[in-house]
Amino acid sequence: MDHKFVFEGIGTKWVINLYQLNRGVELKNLEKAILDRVEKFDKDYSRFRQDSWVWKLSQNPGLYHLPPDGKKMFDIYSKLYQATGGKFTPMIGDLISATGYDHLYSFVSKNVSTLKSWDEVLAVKGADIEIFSTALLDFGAAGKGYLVDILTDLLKEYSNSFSINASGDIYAFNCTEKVGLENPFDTSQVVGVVDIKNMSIAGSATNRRVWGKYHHIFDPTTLESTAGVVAVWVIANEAIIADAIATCLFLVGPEDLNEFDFEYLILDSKMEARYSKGFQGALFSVTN
Amino acid sequence: MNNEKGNKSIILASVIGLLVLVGLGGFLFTRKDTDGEGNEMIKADDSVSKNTNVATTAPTTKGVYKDGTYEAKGDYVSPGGAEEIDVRVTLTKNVITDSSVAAMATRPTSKMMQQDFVANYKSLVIGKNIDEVMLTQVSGSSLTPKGFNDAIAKIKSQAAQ
Repeated sequence: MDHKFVFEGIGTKWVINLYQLNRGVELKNLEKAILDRVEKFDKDYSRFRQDSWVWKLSQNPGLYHLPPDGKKMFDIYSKLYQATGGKFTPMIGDLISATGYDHLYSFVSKNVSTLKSWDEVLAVKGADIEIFSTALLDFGAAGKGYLVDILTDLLKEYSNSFSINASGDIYAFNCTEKVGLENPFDTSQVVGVVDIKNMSIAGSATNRRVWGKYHHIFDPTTLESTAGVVAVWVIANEAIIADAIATCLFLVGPEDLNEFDFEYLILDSKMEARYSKGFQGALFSVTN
Repeated sequence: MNNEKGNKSIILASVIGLLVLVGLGGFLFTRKDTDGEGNEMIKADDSVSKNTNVATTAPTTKGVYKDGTYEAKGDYVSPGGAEEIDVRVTLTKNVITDSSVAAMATRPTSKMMQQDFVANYKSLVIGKNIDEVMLTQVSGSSLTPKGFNDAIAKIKSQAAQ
């Protein structure tokens, strides 16, 4: 009695497969609970809507209360900001917007300039955050993965076997999903397959969100989109980690990210792959 | 050609040499099987150095090898415990055209273990059509919403004018 729930959320397509439902669960209640939680997350962290918490912080300095799930978000961003020497930063929202991928989807570049540092912009103080100097924060690098984890915890109340696919960030709970690794140069193909069970995989690539000379992953030290790496997949216990690390691997090498536990596969523009020892799956190449 | 014991030690030496090339020279291993062709010897040449992190000196041995894939398994002890690796070498016309080192670990990989070992590389990655592959999900870049796609289409048509 499999049930598939497809919806749009935080700017992309979600597919939840329910392979089992606990006794007494009504699907419409479950679906509503999911959509409500997705909307709350969007209203907190989206830089695309002017009624969001992130938009409010971008307008005025001051002391603001963090959303309950905010502490973990800033904690991970802080660790990766330090590990990447500031290349992985929530302040990237200002740069992405300036190059055109703004809340109006104007795709016109204006006022591209260096980003403020973490300490210039904000400090987390317990359940609050102080904004010293405004910036448009963007949590796209880890937000989708975080929401996968949040919905996983929610779904465990309703189902003992399900998977969530947030457009490439996948968590499989008590089931095995055979995940094809999409070829960024030809999306009718996959370059490999990996089994995911009670783990998360995040996929990132530069082929879709493209405008002018830019794609959506930026290096704040060059003020340009990154070059060289075209696709990354990361496997970790939590989707927030998989998602965040996947973005980091466009900016730094895996050796810089030792504090975290993950497996990875990096594909470059020459169709060469580099992968961690524990990244287990099939990878297709000319000789096999 | 030569007796099997001699061949085994030559193949062993060559595969060790190959592992040196991919930076894993510290491992001891035993060769478990061939591709079924038996008494052949492996010759490596400079074509293997197309992988960027590979040393450029290559051992050479005498002999002619049948095309095919040769495999060896290696055992080593990591801080996490005993592990096994699988080395595979593909020969085409006496040249190593592919090599890979695959993890056989069954326990979750620890951070410490990741730090201890070099990454694996594979060149000439290709795609296979989705309907030809057994899979249940696809992971890649996020699908874009309609608003995004419409805006991109609009600026592209404006740029074309």
